[in-house]
Amino acid sequence: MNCIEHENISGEFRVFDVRSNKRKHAHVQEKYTRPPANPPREKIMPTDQDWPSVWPGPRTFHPASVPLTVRQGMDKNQKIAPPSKYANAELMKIPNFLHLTPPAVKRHCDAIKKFCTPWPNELDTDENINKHFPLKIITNDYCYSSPKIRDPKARVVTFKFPLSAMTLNNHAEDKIKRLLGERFNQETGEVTLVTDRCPMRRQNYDYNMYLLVALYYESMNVEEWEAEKQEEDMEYYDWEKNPSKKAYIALKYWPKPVDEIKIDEISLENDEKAQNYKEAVTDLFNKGETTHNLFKYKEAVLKIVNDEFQNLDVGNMCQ
Amino acid sequence: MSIFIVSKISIRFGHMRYVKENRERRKRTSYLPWRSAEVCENIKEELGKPYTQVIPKSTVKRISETNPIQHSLSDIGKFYTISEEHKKKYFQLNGFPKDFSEQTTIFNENAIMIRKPALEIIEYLKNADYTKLPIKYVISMHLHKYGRKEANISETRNGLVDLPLEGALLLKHFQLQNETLLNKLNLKTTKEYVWNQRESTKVGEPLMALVNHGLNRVRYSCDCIHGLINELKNAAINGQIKFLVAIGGFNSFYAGKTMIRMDEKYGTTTDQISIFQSFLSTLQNDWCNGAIIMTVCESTTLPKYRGSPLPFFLLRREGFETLDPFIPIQVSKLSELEFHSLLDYYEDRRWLQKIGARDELEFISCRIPAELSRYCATL
Repeated sequence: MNCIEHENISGEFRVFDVRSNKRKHAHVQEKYTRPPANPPREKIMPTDQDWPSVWPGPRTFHPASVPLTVRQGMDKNQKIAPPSKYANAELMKIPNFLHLTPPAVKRHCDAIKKFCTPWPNELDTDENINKHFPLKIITNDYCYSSPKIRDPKARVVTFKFPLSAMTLNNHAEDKIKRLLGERFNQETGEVTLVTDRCPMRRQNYDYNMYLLVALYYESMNVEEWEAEKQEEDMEYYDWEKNPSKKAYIALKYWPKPVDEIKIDEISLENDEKAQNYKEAVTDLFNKGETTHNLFKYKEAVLKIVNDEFQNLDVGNMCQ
Repeated sequence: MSIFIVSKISIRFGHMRYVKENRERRKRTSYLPWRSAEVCENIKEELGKPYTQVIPKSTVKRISETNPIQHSLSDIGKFYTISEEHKKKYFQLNGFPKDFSEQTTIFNENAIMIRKPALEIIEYLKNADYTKLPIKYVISMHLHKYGRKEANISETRNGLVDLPLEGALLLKHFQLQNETLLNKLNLKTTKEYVWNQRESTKVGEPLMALVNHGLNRVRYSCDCIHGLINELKNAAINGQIKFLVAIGGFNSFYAGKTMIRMDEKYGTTTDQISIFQSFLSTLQNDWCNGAIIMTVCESTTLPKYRGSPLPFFLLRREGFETLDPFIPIQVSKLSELEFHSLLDYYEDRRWLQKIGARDELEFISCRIPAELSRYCATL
């Protein structure tokens, strides 16, 4: 039994004091006081310091390192000022360009200048650049401050070039357009090849290069079955091969029956009305039906049907 | 005591004393708060005329010349009337669009506003060279629909479908329009038509016999139409007649699907209809002394082929190549002059009972006649 003698012993019996025993053995916890924090670095920064050395690369915003009184965010009730930079998650979320100050960029450029060659004088305009370097290769780099620096999106490689940059004959141009499908933009005439099938950027780049070559030579090939192409498969309207020419000849040579005329042998190059009409019909098919094209067609038909129709009061109906 | 009608009646009980007190003052105004014979009589005496709602009668621009050939560009926006006699003769069965024929009964007259596209076609028809191939005119508008019809398989032409009742109606329409003319011209058939073992139309019979046969034996009406069209084409080539073909909603010929039920199945296409094939033969470039007028309209075709009122879109490649070359004639929206002229007419016919708000009507209807008529119906 643990017992100690009491200081004040009265009589011959000692008193067993349970409480004092407990008090004596109680563990007194020391109160923790937080060590005083250093003042933020920004307070002691000299005004003429070298900023690119303080913030050398891309980094998440840090309030103590940036000697600027920036504020970000908004009070819900708009009664207080926007929160200050300390403990401000909003400032940390957004990317910053504190490492790209003009002196930093200049220093960077100066450092790599020794590796550069002078810009060719011939490439003075955008037109010239596009003419001599038609192929645009687009890739994206992603920067992270997290431990993992890879991003799967960085592997995607995009090739862009105008189709006119390729030297193609009529057949090849038609075929390459069919092979490209929706990768060819009809309005701008631009081809876009996007590759993301391989895990690495270099592999995707190589595959895109392979695609370019394969497309070019495949379009140059003429296969046997291509001879079976019908009038409906044509990519453009050829008036000479269509019923419209037959109708015009029927009109011109009436009352001679059309079936007796060899339409292919008749050349209408010197016939001004026919050329006019041919152009109007071709435009309707190739460029689409607009009010302008339709009016052009009407004028052409009025001419071939009857010369006098042009001179009538009501002839001009362009409204 | 004379009885006269007040167009607006306000019934307010307990009003009599007020009226009596103010009678003298009220008498001097044209306002009529209380309808009683005595009051009316007093006012009538005072004003010298019965009370009616005052609507200034708008003056409709009309033209007495009923022959469209005589109309000129200066007559645009004016109304001319087709006499009841002519309507009976030419448009008894068909010819007027449904909306228009409804309006003729409402307005109690067959008034038509003169517009530029009509003048244009008439001018072309007047000046055309009829020794050449027929000119095709395509107007963008109108209606024509294939609904559920009674149909038979054609016996004479393989793979085609006859619409005997439609054929008979068409023949009847043709008969009403052209009987007197055909009798006068004395046209004869140039070919023998054998309908079956017993019935036939021999060479040299009048053309009306062919029509009558189709009407009496409805079963053969479509074949009769085919024969009739060929005979008319021949007569036109020989210079005996001038042949005008008018087809409404021509683009419905290329709609593809029909509601015709054959062998308990839908699936008959438009190019299987024998009447369609007969009319296509008029579009071939092998006859002269004629003209072809057609209309194309969005409402006549299937919803999937709608989207633009322009002829090339509506006819599509197949239809365009059948017609090419043709003269497209656009029926544009009403001009300012035509718009006010039409509203004047509506006011004159009491179709439009509230005057004014013309700017608003112009804005909401975009001066499109059908829209305008729709908005005016409730006013």
